[in-house]
Amino acid sequence: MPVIMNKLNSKERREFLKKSLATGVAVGGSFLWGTPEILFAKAASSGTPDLVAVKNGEPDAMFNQAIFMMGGMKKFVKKGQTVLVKPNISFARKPEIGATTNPLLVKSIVAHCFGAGAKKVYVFDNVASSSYGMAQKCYKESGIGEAAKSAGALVAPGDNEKYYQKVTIPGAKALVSTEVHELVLEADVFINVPILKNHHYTYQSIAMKNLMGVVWDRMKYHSLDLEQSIADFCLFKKPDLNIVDAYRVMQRFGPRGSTPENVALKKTLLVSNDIVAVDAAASKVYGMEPEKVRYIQLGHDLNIGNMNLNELNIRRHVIGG
Amino acid sequence: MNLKKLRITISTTVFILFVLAFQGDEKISTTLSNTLLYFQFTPSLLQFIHSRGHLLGLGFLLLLLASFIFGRFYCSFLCPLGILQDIFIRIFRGSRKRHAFQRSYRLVPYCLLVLTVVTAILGSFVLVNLLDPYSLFGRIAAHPFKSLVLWINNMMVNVFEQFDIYALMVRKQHYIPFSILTVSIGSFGIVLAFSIISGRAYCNTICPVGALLGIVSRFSLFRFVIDKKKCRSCRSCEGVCKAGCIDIDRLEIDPSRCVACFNCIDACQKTALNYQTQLAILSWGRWVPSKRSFLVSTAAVSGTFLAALFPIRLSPLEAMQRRQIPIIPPGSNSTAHFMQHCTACHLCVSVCTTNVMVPAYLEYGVCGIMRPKLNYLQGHCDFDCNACGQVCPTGAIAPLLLQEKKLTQIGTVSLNKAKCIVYVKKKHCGACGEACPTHAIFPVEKGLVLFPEIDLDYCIGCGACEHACPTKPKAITVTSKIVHSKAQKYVPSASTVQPAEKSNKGFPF
Repeated sequence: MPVIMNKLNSKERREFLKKSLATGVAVGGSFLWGTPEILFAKAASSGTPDLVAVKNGEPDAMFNQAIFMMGGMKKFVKKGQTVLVKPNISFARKPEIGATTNPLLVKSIVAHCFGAGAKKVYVFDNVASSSYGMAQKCYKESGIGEAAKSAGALVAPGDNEKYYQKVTIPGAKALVSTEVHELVLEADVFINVPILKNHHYTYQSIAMKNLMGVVWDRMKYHSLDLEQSIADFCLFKKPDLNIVDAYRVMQRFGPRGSTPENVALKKTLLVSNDIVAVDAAASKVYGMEPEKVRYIQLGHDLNIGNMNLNELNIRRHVIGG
Repeated sequence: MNLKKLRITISTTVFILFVLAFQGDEKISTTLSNTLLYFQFTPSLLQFIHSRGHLLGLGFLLLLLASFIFGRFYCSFLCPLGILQDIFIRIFRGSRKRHAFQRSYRLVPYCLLVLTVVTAILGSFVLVNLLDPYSLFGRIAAHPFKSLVLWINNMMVNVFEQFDIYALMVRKQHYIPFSILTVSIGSFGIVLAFSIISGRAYCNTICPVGALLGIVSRFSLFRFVIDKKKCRSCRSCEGVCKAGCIDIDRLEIDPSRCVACFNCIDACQKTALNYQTQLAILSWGRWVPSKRSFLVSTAAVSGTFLAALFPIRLSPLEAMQRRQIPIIPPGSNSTAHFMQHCTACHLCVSVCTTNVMVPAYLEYGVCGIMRPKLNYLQGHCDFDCNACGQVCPTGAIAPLLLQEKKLTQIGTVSLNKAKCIVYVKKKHCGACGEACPTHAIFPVEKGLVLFPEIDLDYCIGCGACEHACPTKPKAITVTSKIVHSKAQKYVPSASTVQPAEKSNKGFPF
């Protein structure tokens, strides 16, 4: 373990140098433009931003920048804590299709968690198909299983009912009770890492929708009221951090996706601890007004978060810009 | 070279490989099945009959030829059921309990053989499916034995998980109907009983493959011969002969029952037993009219007649409604094709990665007893998988290329809008649409609600939608196609997606 941490530290040091350089340029630029608050964003001295948006970088570089702007991973992960990273691994498709979270991003997040002193980092998803054996295929084909393992995470199974515990959700309008994966209940820190993509039947699949992958009976959502249930679940558990992968954004044929031609290279990353805000922002990145996505509106109405982006403290950063 | 040790080495290897092939790992099974099942008699014979001159069917010819030279070596070296019996004999009889010469009830196996062949030609595979030794072994390995292995595996997973080790995963057994479990455990029990009580008597009284190879072995080039000058009638060889075919009183060995295990040569102290070339003595043995053999023979012959007269094709497929006909896996081409090939070895059931393949019992009628079918309540046929066709030894499920398989229509979907959540509640669901791999289900937006619609040209009947559908009973269902057809490949309309937005540096918020 110390070997890996040393590596991380040296890597982080390099990243820090790079970022210092980048922020230096940004600082100079922002003074010219007369927006000095960006200057303080890098040290997060003006309080944690509600939402951080980074653009035009590779997934890992964008995450390095974004988490730095959020005040560093140490703000979210304390030494010795157990972290659950929940990417979207719902389909057995290659990353190029845009149906699953970028493996490089997952790897980078896991590395940051360990860098902040996490004891254990778990990665799992209850995949979309409940047919036996599909989970392993999804873990493999998406590249996330491999990537997470290489960063030292424990890739846990989510395809057996024995891992799930029944919970009730106070205040829920549709999803009054459900079975939640024990890791969600046990982990100290819960990091939600969805991918932004098109969804045939809910218009969008982003952070709130991604939480369907921590319950056992996904079909209960469908039979009750899909969007209300998605919003209801956030009453039970709000992730400590939502990291939306909008690097490759599937524009059509979601959530399963078709070919790489239906994917737009948006190279964007959004980070927030407000799950509704991050969904609203992501929806705009996709090119759709968040009001159209019913569960975002429902989440806002349930006071889970704020979908009015103009009321939020948003930090933006364009790499190389 | 000690031929007995060679036999033990080869047969143990073959047995281990067979057990591995039936444990359901896709990679291991597909690799093993190609070589291992090439030399299984009945599957290879069926390949040979149905695909004339196909290379895969030649295994059967090679076996016949080899039997003409070496005798029934198949039964000791290659037949998994035979090796299983040898293991039972070894465990439960050991070397203490000695074998003895058995009277030959030749008519019983021959009648069963004729009956099996006649019924198969008439179109009923009931006896083939029940009696073929490879398939019988397959059902034992794929159901009770695999259950045991998976149970042990899952116990280990439970332990390992306590230490955060996720190297093993929980494996789920495929659905086994009680009837199938009864048949496979029952046949296991029968074979076990036979082997404990009288060695290889099962192979010499019931097994039709044994009977056929027995006829061939009468004329085999190499055979076991007792040197009458050297033999002291110590009965060492008789005591180790599992087939009970050494008649020390007459100093004769019945080549039709000998399974070429080489135990006798190993046991003989005087080297009076030899495995050598000898021309066949074309005598059908002496007819010794005893009450017992007369009774057995009469029963066997009359049984054959009765069975031939009996309406063997109870509840034939033709009489079934379309909805009742089971869905057969991609590659099986048509129900008629499938009916003429499958021997119900259940290797496909075991290898199926989503457990959608389950053994049926009488769903295909008596003539197709125990054949597999797709059950979409258990799972769906994975779009990116063609494992069943890769392992099938009989050609019942032809090996399809993945791209072919992805366009093979095995069923037809239909959506009952009176039950569908979206149509009934006007609320979004999309469970079927998000599962559909072929774009056969697509959304239509009407008044801010997205309704699922179906385009049958693209549907391959994989059942992903039926499996996912949250309503009970299912609003979206798949019915079988009697003859499989080819689906259209979905070509998306010209994309409106901008591939890159490098110039766009701003955020839309």
